[in-house]
Amino acid sequence: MKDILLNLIEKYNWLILFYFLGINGTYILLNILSFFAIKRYLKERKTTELERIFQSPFFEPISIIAPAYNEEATIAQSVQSLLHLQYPQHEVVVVNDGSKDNTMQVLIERYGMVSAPITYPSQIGCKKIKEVYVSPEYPNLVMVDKENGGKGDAMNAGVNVSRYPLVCFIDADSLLESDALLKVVRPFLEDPTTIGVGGIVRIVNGCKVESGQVTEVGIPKNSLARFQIVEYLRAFLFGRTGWDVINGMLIISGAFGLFSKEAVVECGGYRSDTVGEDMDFTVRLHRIMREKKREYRMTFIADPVCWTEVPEKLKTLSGQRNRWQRGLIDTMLFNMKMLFNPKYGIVGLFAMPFFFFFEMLGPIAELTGYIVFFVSWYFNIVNFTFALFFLLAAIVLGIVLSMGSLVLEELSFRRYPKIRHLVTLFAYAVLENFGYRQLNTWWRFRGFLDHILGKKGWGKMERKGFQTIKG
Amino acid sequence: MVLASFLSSELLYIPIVVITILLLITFALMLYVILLKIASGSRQRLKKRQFEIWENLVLKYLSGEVNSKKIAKEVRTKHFSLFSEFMEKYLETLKGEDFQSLTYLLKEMGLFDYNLKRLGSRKRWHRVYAAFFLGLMRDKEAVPALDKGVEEKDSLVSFVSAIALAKMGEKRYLKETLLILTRRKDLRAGRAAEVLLEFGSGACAELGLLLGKESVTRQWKYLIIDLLGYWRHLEAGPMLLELLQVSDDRQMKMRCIKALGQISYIDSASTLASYLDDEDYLARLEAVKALGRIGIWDYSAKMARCLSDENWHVRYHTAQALAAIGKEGVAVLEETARQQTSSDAQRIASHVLSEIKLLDEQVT
Repeated sequence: MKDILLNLIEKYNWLILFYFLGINGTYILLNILSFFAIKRYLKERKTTELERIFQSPFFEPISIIAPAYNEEATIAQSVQSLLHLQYPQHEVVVVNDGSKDNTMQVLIERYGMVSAPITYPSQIGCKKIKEVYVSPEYPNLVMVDKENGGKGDAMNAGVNVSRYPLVCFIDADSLLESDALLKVVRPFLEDPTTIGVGGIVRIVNGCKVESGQVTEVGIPKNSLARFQIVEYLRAFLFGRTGWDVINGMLIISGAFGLFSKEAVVECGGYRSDTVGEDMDFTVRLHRIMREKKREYRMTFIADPVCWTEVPEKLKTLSGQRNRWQRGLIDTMLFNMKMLFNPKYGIVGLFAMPFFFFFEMLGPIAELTGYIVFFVSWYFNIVNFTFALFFLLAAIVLGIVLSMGSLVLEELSFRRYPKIRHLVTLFAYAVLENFGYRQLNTWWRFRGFLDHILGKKGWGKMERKGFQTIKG
Repeated sequence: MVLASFLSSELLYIPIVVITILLLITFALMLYVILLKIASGSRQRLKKRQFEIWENLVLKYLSGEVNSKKIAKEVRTKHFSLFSEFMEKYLETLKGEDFQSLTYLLKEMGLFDYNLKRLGSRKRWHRVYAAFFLGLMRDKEAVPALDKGVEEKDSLVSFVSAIALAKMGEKRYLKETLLILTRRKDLRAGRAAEVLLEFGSGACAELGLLLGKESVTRQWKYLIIDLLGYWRHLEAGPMLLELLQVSDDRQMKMRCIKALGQISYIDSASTLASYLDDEDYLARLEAVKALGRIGIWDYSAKMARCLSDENWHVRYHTAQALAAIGKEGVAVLEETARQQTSSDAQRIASHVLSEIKLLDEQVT
């Protein structure tokens, strides 16, 4: 019995070694690909005259869809920022998804919104729309009041009411930079097969906001938010950019993504029975396009910025990570037939397996890795010093990868203006490996268990509101 | 126990070496980022200082205080990239004699030849920027090279070269450029619009011809209709009206309605009015806007009915269109606004009237 156990543990140790090599090898590859992609983008950007785009009356108009659930703290500023975006023609559709707070009243009062029974084609299924409001002061602002049905359902309602051929989904608690639409629309002009584009999501905590725009980029005082800055830079700058290079991007964030409305409708919109609606939607788009043998491209640009508020409390953050994990599992299982299926090209053969084995099963591998490490040590299967060094190597490699994204940031967009900002981020790139990372693994593991137990909820997100400048 | 033996202490040097290398990389990256930050800061300062010096020199040159040789002496070849960047703003905004003097200066400095040579470079980015800069210079000597650029396989080089030709107002290349662009599968009509906008309204006749060709894609036809409307090319009126009547493409029809309104083609008014009853609110919306732009009184009764349309946007734009028609339209709005019972029509008429009143107050 003991022999069998020891044999199993030894095999597991090998598995962990391959897991380590696989995940980090892919990350290094993504880092390298991102470096060249961002370099290329920055060069090409020089010849794109944004002013010309802004003046051009021929750009396809965009409907911005902002689902809102209990967003009274930030909704007015967010909408103000959306209304003043630079773009030839756009409308803002705020979907109040049955908020229990004063989200709707805030908008009605601030923008003088009045009820307007607008007719719209019901192209995608969604919960009952109770009323549509328009603002006589801002004819390009529409508010949809509907029964609560979840974020995906709210997005679908927004698509139904929207008027324009391109739809941009953003979180109602986020702020878009004034030229974000002009930048994010570029791939639609350059490549006729484009059906979706994602932009970078950056953290607004610690930044100063004036009239719905970030006027001074800073680092938050809260440690959890600081860890998340490092995480977001890693996820977007080298994660998304790298996957984009090989056309294997499996997620366009629900916080900021631009899609062809035709493709959204063709795909049947967002699923309302999942908590990972954005990833599920992106994967399904891949699936449908490939099944229909349609030439298509979904891409990511690291330049158009969406600023978002991140949780500063452990409880809220754990809930968010738990939800992300459940969303990931749900998406993977729902689209299981794509896994290792050559019919789905690079998505089926590389991206899906990576997300399945390394992202979805990652917390299990990591957590059991820690347990097996101690068991192996106890039974003297593995040289303790070696194992310790192995763990150390994994940590340092993680730090190197985080540093890689900071290098990318500094080579390209340089949003953090002061050296002390960078030094702080370095420190947090190191510190995250001692406690934060393990916590994250635990939250994700809990997400795994909750998924098995059938938990469906979103958890509660507490909003502080943006840090505004008193004028 | 394979792993146990593999992990024997003799092999311990492997992770130690790996960790040491990784730590070195970490420190190197950290140092690199800090150096980058410092370097970018000093580069920005240098750039600012250099731009200030050049700005002073260029202004003196334009007022005749210094000659081109003095500037050429100041700007060394290694600064050509930075100087090109500095000149972009001037080349984009200056016109007339000042512009001529500047292009003369750039030629004297060798910047024109430098970019012309780079247009044939093997490096894609060099070709793109060269085409972009030559376009800003608008020197006709670059036309043959840019014309070749349009035919390039690389879509960005082709696009930037086409823009450059358009900036020069090279109409003789319009037809050829259009043919090349319409054939390209990797260029969306929206982006091509940028090229055509640069060519200006002189491109209308050529565009009108393309509208009739079967080989031209739907997306391009949409763009051409939009452009004809945008430039208010009155000669295109009959063609657009016919297209509106015979086409079974919904998008095409919508664009025709909009363009006919922009052109203010009176003969299309009755056809446009028939769309006020269309089941698609977007068609009603475009039709009412178009009739408002044309501004004839004949269909105002039918338009007034749209004040009660089920769609708010149609109601709002109907009220605005009636106001745009003139006194008669405003009278209809006032009458509607005076109605005793509150209705959608009454509310929207009151709202638009208050908007007009506010506007009048602001003007006076």
